[in-house]
Amino acid sequence: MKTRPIIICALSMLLVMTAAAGAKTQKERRIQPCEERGSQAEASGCAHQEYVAADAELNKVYGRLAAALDAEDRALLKASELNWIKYRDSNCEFESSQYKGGTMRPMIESFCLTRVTKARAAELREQLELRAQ
Amino acid sequence: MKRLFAATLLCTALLGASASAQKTAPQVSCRDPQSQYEMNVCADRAYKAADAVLNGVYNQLAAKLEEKERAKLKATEVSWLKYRDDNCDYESSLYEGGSMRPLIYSSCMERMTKARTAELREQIKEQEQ
Repeated sequence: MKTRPIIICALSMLLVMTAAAGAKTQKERRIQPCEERGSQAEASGCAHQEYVAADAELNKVYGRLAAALDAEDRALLKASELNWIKYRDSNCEFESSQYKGGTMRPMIESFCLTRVTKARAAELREQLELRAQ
Repeated sequence: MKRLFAATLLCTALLGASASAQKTAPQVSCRDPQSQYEMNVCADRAYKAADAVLNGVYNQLAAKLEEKERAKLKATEVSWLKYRDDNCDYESSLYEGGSMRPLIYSSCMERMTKARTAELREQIKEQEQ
């Protein structure tokens, strides 16, 4: 029981670091692989594909976690997922709003969606591991 | 009669213990928490400290935005708060009924608050570019 807080503490630090790393890649977006495509349209398409893949991965993790829960906990998970979706959309709309009217905006939004989605998948994967203990 | 006496003794002892716990609460040293209760108190303090930092960073960012953008940021923050609270309810539900639950809840709130602070700090940098 005593090791749990230590594990949780370590995991929390990892998560915060992951979030910081995610934020960093957005700052250094000029070197993102998708942006080495020929045109902005191609770069945006590439960024969108990355997000689609991250979302598919999140859905897989969510499904596995939900399957491991009883009805009551599954309802709590579902409620937090619905609020997370609202936060994700609102946050990425906000983050890309400074590029409003520019051709980069869809790509910036996709980068944001991918970063937030990967962070949520990591959060749920942590929960899956805790439940499996 | 003996039982009643024992029960009274027990109650007095418990009440006394909780009263002294209340008295000593502000003196919990978070450098080296000694019990689950102290760990819970300290985790709550750590969350509140992180929350104060987040509020400062949020206001710093909000001050840089024009009204329309500020409204978007506010809407995002409202949905983030709901997500955070629900998520920490969920994460701590694994420990429902256990004495560790408040610690798990506060640690979750602290972790998420710090992650959100980092996200907003990044936006401040973007605004300054």
